[in-house]
Amino acid sequence: MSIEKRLRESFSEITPPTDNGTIIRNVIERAENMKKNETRKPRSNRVFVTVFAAAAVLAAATVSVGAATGWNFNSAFSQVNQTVANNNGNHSVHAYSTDEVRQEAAQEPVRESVEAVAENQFDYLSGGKELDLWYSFDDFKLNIKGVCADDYMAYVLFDIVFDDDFDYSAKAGWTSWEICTLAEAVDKSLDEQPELGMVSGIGEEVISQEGNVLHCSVRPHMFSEYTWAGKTLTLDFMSIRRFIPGKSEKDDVPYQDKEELLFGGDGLHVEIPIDFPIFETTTWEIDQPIDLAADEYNRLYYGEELPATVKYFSATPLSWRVYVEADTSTFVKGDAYSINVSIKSGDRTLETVSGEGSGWIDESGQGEISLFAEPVDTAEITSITVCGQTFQLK
Amino acid sequence: MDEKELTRLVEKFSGTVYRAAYCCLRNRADADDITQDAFLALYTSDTEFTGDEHIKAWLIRVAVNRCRNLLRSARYRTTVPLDEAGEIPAAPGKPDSILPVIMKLRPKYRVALYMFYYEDMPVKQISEVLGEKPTAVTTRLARARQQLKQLLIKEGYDEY
Repeated sequence: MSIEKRLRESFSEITPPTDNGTIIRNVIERAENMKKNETRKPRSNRVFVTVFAAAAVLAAATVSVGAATGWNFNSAFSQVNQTVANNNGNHSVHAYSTDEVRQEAAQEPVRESVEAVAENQFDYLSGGKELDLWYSFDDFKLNIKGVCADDYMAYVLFDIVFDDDFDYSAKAGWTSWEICTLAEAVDKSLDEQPELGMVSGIGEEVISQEGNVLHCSVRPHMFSEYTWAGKTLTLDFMSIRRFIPGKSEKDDVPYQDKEELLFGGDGLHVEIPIDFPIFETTTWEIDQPIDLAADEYNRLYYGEELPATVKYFSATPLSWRVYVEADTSTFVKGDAYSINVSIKSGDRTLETVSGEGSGWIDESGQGEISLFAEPVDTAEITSITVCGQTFQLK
Repeated sequence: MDEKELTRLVEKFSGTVYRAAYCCLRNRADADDITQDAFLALYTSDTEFTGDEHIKAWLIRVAVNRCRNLLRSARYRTTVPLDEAGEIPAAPGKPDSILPVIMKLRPKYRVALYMFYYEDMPVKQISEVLGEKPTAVTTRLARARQQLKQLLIKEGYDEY
């Protein structure tokens, strides 16, 4: 039997546990409940029970007050940091304020919350600077608000401010706005830049939307041999887009159109010198063997024995990097091994990244750079566990 | 959309949506929830569809996106690989079944194989559903087939 036929027959063995009648009843009932809830008077706040959700509420409240009284660098970056880390599925117990402080602050009136944050908040300005650069385009303006950086990552916060007469609202079935940017690092002291560039990747997020304002961030990552210190970050803002289901199709298949706003014909080129003191990196040399097959995915996909070496672990208050080299005799080019990592301060877990979507090593042997969910004091990091093996850090 | 139309579409596409969700998640209960979520989104949507193929692709996209969100959640990132190993169907009485092996592939490979081979969706359409470039889908399918072949050989399946 052909593999195609076996695939088809195999997938047909997957059958829904719920009969169609039950699905229909449940859907109609839930839709009716949704309608009832929509007609009720809206409640001012949802009750959040997790530490992260409480922190997110606090950050949102802080930003809204900041908007009335002037932009708050630390609060805005805190919100970005938290959102990015939560989207990545990371979690941490951070070192600068306690859960109790956050929960108490979240229950206080907004102004007290801001003060509570100010007292406990990590100072992003100690490794960054405010910019407040404005650029105008058809239908929107771009406001680059600020930047901070460590060796690995430059971390830019910007707003897209839609014009009042532009329909920026979300509608049922429409995707969220996406930002498309390009980034590179330039060393002005060099006549020639590295052939392959210094930026290894870029993260870009729309953090939230408040009315006609999209709060966004972009985070270009450096290859491990370079640092952002003294470099110039070049950003090319290309487009903002979202997808709209089903209009103007000519056949039966297309189901989404793209609504796209451009930063001019060729994009907007912006240069941001990283000419301020950046956050310092602490590095621990490890150079110890591990077996990547301790990770479930690696074992399933690549084999029972996957020898590798953890070369070093390094961290800044904002991010961390673990560098693992796989044994090339077992490494299959094009594949990527999963790296499960847990970072601790004594018994407290500062960060855990595991399962699919965790860090990867590929041909370059380089572990992925990750953000801490909240800034940490690197002096408090005591151990790291990589694929089940723990290393004490001194 | 009225109840009659919802009924018709559930009867026509519930299996499709459930299988897509199951391929992503490998968990019957969560796939069942995602299926109902997708039909609820359809029922409450004011999208103007051009036909049943359009609705089918829309439903799969909604389901896959919700699965992605679930896979990114802390629960899945920390517990899924081991917890769900027991949920891979054993397919008793079907010696030709390779479903347990398919389910050992990564979610993105399983979904791509499902849409391509079972739903007969063209690469362009799969790329639109997954929000990927067609070349990325082609590469993904090639790697999925390659890894499936390696797993089948390793686990002693004949006649690959």
